[in-house]
Amino acid sequence: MTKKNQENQITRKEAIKRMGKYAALTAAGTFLILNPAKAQVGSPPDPGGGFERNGQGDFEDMFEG
Amino acid sequence: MKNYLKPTSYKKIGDNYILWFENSNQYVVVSSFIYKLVLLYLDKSSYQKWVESCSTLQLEISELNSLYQEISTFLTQASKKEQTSNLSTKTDYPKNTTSVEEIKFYKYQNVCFNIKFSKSNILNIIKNPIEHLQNRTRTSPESKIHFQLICDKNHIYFLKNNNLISIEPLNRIHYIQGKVTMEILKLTNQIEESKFIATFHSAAIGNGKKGILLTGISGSGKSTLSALLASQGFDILSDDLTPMVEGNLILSNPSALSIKEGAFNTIESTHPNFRNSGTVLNLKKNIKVKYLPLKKFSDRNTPLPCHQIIKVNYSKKSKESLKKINCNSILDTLIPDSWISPKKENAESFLNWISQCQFYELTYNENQFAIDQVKALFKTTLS
Repeated sequence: MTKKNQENQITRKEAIKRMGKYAALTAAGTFLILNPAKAQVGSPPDPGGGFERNGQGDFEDMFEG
Repeated sequence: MKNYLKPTSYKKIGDNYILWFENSNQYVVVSSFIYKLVLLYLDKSSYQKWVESCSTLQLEISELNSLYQEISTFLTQASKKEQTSNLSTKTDYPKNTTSVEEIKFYKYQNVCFNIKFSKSNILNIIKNPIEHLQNRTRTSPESKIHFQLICDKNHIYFLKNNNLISIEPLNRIHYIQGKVTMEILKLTNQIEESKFIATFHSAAIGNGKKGILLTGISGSGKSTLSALLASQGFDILSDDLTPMVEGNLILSNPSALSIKEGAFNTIESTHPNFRNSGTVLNLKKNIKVKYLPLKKFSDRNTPLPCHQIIKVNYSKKSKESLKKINCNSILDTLIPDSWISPKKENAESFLNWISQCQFYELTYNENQFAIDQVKALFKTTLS
């Protein structure tokens, strides 16, 4: 049997392996579920990340005049 | 046949399938193997019949049982009608703001509009990237469209001709920024929102005939690479929000490139005026962002086809390469970070388009390497 034919007969474990890191996205890595943004959105303006995680009280303090 | 659980549409991409469910507006990528099991699940009326139909797959009964449960749960959830968010139930806005306001007049593609800003440093996030669109020779009667951005302690309000069109908490100002960009694009291109397929969270460059999307996390080098390519004669179509309209064509977005401090020297070497021009947004912790306005707007208005997407990764340590990659590596960030129209014909248009795209990953640390690789991609034609 050629290698190609063998690849067509992949098991679920192989399928999950092929999904790589996305396997963590569902309980057993079977599906990569993606929800688009609900509205048009630009980049969060904090280049260092963590923008979404800041509480509203901290937000204004991030900017200089 | 469990028709009520079927995906509304699907397309094959490489070895995978991408499914779309209209009720939940969810996209799901599965391997061909899993897709086959899903089809069998939809076709067979009982668990027993499904197990029998899977007998050739050499799976243990415990695995089949677990898979059946997963498929069942997943399809039920994906087929559920999306719950409408009650996040923004406010319909009123502060009409008597005490803060000093300023009005700025803009002109893009011969369309004039103005935006009234309440005084707040936060609004610089919206103001700075479009500063170069200001119409400094305006004559006042030209503007018929009046936008307004109002901040109070907790929210930002976006109005068009005194009608409230969006409210977001302060820490979601990038959603207001997206809305402002969308309104400018609708107005200046004379295209209604229903004709937009998507607004991708990506940069885009073009050569007058086609465009290429550049994706990647913040700091991956997208904007720097775009600026470098611009110095080589390519057009920057957008920096971080790329609109796609019907026909799967991408439009240019006139917002300036946001360049982070680490790339200032690189950009100054190819764009000498960058040192003295551009506006600076100061974030505390000494993080600076400077804006590089795009040029030649009038030459870049033609919507362009685009069938190549590059995931950009600037890394000083990794070996440089440009390689074709699986769609998953790009879709897992592109879809959640982008708005894709939930209208059935638009979602199907997106699926058709994405199934014809080629996906690449560019890892670079030398600018010339990246420029050469992207130039070469522009010369390729789709097979």
